[in-house]
Amino acid sequence: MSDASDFNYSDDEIDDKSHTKIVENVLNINKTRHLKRPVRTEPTSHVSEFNLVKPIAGKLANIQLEKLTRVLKNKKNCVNLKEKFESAKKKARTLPKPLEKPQSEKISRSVAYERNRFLFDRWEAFVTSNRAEAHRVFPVNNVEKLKVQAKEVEKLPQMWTFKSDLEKKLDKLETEEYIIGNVNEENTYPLTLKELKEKRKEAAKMRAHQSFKEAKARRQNKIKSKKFHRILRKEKIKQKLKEFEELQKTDPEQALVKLEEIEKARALERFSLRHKSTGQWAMNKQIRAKYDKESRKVLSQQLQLSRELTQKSKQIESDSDFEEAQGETLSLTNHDNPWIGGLQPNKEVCDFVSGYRKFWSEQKAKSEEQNDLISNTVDEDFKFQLDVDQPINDIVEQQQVVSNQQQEFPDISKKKSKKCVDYNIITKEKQVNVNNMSGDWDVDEFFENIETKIKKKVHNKSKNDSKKVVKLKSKKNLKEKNLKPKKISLDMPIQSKKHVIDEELNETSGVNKKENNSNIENLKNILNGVKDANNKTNGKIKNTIGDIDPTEFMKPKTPIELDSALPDLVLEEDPEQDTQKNIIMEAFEDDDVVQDFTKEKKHEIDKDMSQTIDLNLPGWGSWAGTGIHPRKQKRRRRFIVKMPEVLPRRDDNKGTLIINEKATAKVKLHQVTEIPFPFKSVIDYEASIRAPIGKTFVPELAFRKFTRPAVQTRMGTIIEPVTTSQLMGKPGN
Amino acid sequence: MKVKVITRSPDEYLRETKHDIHKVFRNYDPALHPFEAAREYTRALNAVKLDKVFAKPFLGSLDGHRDSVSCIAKHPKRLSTVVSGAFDGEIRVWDIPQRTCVREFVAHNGIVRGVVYVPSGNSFISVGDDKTIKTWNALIPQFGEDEEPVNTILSKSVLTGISHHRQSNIFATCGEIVQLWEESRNEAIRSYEWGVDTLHDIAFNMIETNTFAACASDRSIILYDMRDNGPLRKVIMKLRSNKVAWNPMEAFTFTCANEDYNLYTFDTRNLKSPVNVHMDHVGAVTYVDYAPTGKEFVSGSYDKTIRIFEADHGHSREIYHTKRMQRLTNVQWTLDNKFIISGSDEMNIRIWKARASEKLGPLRPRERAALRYSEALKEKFASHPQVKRISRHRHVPKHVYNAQSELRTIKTKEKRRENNRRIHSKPGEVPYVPEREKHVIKEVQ
Repeated sequence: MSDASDFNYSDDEIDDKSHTKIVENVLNINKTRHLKRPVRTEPTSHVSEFNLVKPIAGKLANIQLEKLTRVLKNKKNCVNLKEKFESAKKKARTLPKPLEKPQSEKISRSVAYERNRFLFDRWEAFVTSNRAEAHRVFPVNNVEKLKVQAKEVEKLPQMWTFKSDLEKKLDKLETEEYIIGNVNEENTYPLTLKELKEKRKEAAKMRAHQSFKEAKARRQNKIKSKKFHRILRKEKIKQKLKEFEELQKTDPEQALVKLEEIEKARALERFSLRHKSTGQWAMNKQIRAKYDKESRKVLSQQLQLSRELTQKSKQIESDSDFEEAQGETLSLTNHDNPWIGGLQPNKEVCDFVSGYRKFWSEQKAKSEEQNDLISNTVDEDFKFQLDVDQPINDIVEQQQVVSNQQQEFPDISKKKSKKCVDYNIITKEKQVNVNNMSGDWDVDEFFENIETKIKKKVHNKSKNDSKKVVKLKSKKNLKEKNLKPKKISLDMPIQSKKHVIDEELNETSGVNKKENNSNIENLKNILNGVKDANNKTNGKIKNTIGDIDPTEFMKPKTPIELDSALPDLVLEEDPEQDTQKNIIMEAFEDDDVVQDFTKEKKHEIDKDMSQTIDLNLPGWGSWAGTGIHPRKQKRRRRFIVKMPEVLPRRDDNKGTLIINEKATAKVKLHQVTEIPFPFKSVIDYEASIRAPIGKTFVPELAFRKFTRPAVQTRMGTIIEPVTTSQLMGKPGN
Repeated sequence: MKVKVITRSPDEYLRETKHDIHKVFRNYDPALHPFEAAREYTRALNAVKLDKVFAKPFLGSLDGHRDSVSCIAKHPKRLSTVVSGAFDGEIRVWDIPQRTCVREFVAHNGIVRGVVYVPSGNSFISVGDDKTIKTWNALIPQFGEDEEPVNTILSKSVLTGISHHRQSNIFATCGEIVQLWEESRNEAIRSYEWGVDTLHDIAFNMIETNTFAACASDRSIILYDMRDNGPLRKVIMKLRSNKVAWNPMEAFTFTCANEDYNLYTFDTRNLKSPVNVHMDHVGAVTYVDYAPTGKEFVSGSYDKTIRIFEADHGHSREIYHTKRMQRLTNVQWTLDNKFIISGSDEMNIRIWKARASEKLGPLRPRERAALRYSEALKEKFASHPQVKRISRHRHVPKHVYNAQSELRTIKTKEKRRENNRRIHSKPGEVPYVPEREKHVIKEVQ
């Protein structure tokens, strides 16, 4: 303690001012002034930036490395160190100044955000699929939980039961058996992978073959040409005959059976009376029947015969036939009666139809001509082949090649058809020449020549064709390239076509409504009062004039009508309807229906016409009273209210038609005026409305499917938010 | 003479027991049912009308609080329990099916700002104006025991809201700064600041559990990431938003209730403009909560009404109100997707049905089928004018009605003015701004 006090004492003795001066002087020796280094008294995590004013290294630093290294200059054991220092000095660069804090934070924030965004992006598919799903069941099953429960369930029965020794032994036996069974199961796959693959390949081949055959059959069935079918039939018959002959030789008993079968089939065909009036003979007669009485007779006889044959089964039908015939005669006699013979088309329509028919027939004629040309060429080819049988086979084959090419590229073939025709004509001429010639060798030579020529031509043509094809292809490619690549929308298609009605609620306040109601009632009362007064004063006036707003009449609301896919009228011609028609025709035969109808229509139109209202009252501007007749001429114009004109009626131009436009007014209230959102066409929407979903119209299962709720929850269960375990393809899985 | 008679075996048309349904034989040939569509339409119309008849959503109220309700929390494991805090610092635990208060105690000096259950449901944490975070046991104290918090943490700053992590024992509070806490520690693990003086709401994402969002007083919504150095991004809107709620089925969508009478649904990955603007309220929206299915959400407003929105629709599908219900402070959708619980200024907690005309309790199979059928019919004919009119008609209180008409006139006026300006200025000078972009000022990195 004494020491310390001594020290203190001595410290006190020194003059403060002089001391500082001395210190300053000492510091000034170097002529560089130092900031005082701050001294830390408390532990802090912050390092103040004010301490970093002076660099530690460099020219301005207190410690200069170069000065220090001078000491190492002449020392041999420090060469390494020196070298190191030199290299470090060369490489040393001052670090760039760190970014300012807000800026650096911003960068770190944005990086972190991007990382999070990636995490969120993982959910995109899950969310979109869930949004698109029509039916969802909550809570969503959590897979992990289910697994655990299943295992527990397996263990549970074992935990409860105590087993005797015998049971345990039996169990062992069973388990062994089970294991054996398993082994057997493994052995039940007799095929190796290779064999399986082969088998599959074969099956695929078979399937392909089958489908090919089916396609062929379908194509053949579609061919309308009678000639083709006739040839086909004949071929088949020939084939069968051949088979039959072979059978006769090999197995006479079987052949007999087959013969019987063939005979039976023929008899059946005859029996069915299929060729009643469709035969060639009947057709000819029918054509002639228009002009020839006898042929008509013959035909009718024939028909009668057939009818007699079939009378037992179709007695009623014949009756209706008879009436039909009568009806036809009636229709011929009565042209004016609109009940008979249907509606007469407009003149415009007639013109249009006739014009269209002309156009159509012309077009058809043209196309037929072309077809004829082609068929001619084919026929000629055919003839060619027939006349000169074997040596030309090659040429014909080549021609077929050409025709095949034509089939492949129909565009080119059209252009080429004329050329082809010419070429065929040439060959024909040559063929004629050939026919005139005599002697085999000549023919051979000639044909060889022709062969070579044709070969050349065919070759050239095929070359040209291929070039053209290439050109076409390239053009197509160019077009495709020019077209901009369409955007592929990756949105999930919405599974249910649920209407999206995103509208405000139709909110009313009860009090206001009452007020409105009272107002309306008041108005009504006033109106009634006016009406009564008017009725009293003038019997003629029916409308209340004071309340009519002419602007309302000027702008009649045109109802929005969606174009329905359904036709307005259902035109089905049932046999029952026909009889109905006949009855009607009989009933109205004598009436002058047309005039009645026109009258009725006129009446209807007059009813709808806007009428002027005369408000003139007796005694206005003149005397009135008993014995005084009001003058008829002096009607004041200002008391005559003219009603605004109404839109022209829809049935104005339609002669024999009255359209009641007011009939639909009540229905309109219930009709949709706009196609609701997810639907794009009226047809779609109508179809969706027309398809019933109720139990009364569809079977139970369909009903259940249609009425499945969009969100299904279980009573009293907590629905937990989804977890990442539900995410497909997350890195953990 | 042999007389032919049509016979059927009685097995085909008689029922085995009297509880069976009568067998009905039908021919589904559409030609025999020419009026299918018409009949179904009338059925749909009747269904809609019946819907209106049965629409009685209000189930009951829980009264007991002596000041207005400030916060409500759902129990994560049980449907019948709910905790609520009031402006006088009182906390009450409710049994919902019995409609009784199970437990009551004063938890804080001043307002209880937030209550939240721990994910296990064993305890709940409350935050108050006295800058304390208190953890309470969920079990009712036994006879003779006092109501005492399990743990009390003194915070240095003001606390205004609390949200718990869905799985781990971490929760976040907001106030002057956002702080992350661990249940077992008495000091905040982390605290985040981003140049904002007050944050008034905070909500953890339920799917990507490391992110959470907070509403700030500078009219912004800030996204945070728990793992990194905190804030990620910020959206500044025209008016401040009062509450954020994350969609429990979609990781990246959240909805905020805004002061400008609207709600905005955002996609976290694109904050420049909201995905959807939900309008219809006529007062500041104070609270929003998602249905557990993520398809709908409920909002409470300063205009004394509750509205239910479909998440992808701009307009509400339902409005709830009662004469005595005042400004709403809290609305919650229960975890079974059936009920809505609302707390309001006039000290009551109310229970509503989430679907106004739904029949509660178990349904017979036939009854269920019939209800489903009528539901399907309503959907099928939804855009028919009569059906639409009836189903969307609501009576609202007079003040709401008047406010709506006022708002409508304001809107039309603005539209008209804009249109006029557009007409009288150079083409392109007055651009068309979509509604979605009108309400966001900017996105800040």
